[in-house]
Amino acid sequence: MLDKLIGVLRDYKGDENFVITPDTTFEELNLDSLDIMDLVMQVEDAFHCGEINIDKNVKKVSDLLRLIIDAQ
Amino acid sequence: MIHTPICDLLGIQYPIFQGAMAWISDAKLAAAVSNAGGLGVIAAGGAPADLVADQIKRAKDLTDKPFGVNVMLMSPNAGEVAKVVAELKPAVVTTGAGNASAFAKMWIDAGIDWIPVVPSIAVAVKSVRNGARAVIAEGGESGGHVGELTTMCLVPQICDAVNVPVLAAGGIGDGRGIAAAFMLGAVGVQAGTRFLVARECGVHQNYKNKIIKTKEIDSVVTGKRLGHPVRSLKTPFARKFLQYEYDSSITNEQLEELGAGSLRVAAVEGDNENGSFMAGQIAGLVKKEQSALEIITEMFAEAEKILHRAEQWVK
Repeated sequence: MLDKLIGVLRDYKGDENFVITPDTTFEELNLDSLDIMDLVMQVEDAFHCGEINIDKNVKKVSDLLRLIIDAQ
Repeated sequence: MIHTPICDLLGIQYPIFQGAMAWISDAKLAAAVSNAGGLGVIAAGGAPADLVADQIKRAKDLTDKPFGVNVMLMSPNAGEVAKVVAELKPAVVTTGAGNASAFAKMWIDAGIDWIPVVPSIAVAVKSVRNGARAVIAEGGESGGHVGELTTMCLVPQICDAVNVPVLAAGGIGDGRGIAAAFMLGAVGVQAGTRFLVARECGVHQNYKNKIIKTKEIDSVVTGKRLGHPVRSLKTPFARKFLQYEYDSSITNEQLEELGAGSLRVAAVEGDNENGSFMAGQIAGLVKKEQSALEIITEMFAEAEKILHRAEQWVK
């Protein structure tokens, strides 16, 4: 699952070599709030899961992964 | 006569919302706009829930027409305000500056039409999935908190992406703006700056005078560094903020502190030096104080003429 999420994130960034780990933060991904909403839609579609609601506690890739698991 | 699906959906005569402006659009202005046939909107801004409740009750005393309340989702009081809205049931709740999905079901269950302001397709699509009855696509020409896209580019793309009525906002101040919005696919508009100078608007007279004197180049976006860009008039405060924003010795906390309360200082005290006079780029064509009824009827009479004339270009 993590590999799939990292693939979605790399695809979103348009950089196949972007180094992404569970501890990578959204700040490091350099995404603004509109990017994050857009990304979340793509993640929901990719994982065929329910709605993911990002809040201020979601800071890292691992936090997003947890939300995906909860939404499935 | 202009009549669109948003009129039928909400039971309003003219497809126009008065944009929510914190510290400015209160029950009196909202009721005046609703009584004139549009949809007046009370801005909750950062106000506590009890004050918002008082405003909703007051608006109900002043009009029997539908009106709305805007919940500013960045407010620390948003949760409590959301509950008050669900209890007092205005016809419409609009939202902005955040994700409203935590509150949407509560409002919808209360029979309130939730119509969010959306800055992107993703936010629009998610909102519709969560039950939004319509969306307001707001371009960065607007005043206050702004997104990156222009109204011209955002509105048609949102119209293509959702299957609910779309209202256009940002840069709409007269009938030409309404006609243009309809050509982009919108079935209604939201206007804020034009209503700032409504006679029923209780904002400080200095604020109104500034809007009336404004030229087309007189607004500026500040706050990009903080991730919360805001469009306001180029006042001494805005220039100072912009200067600080590009000064690396100034911390983000210092910037936040500088901005805190600056809208209230402008709207309530009319302080030309220290106030943040938020307004849209269209302020340059707002030239006089009028009643809400005069504003709406003038805008739609002009739009109707323009839309009738549009066929002349098709040979």
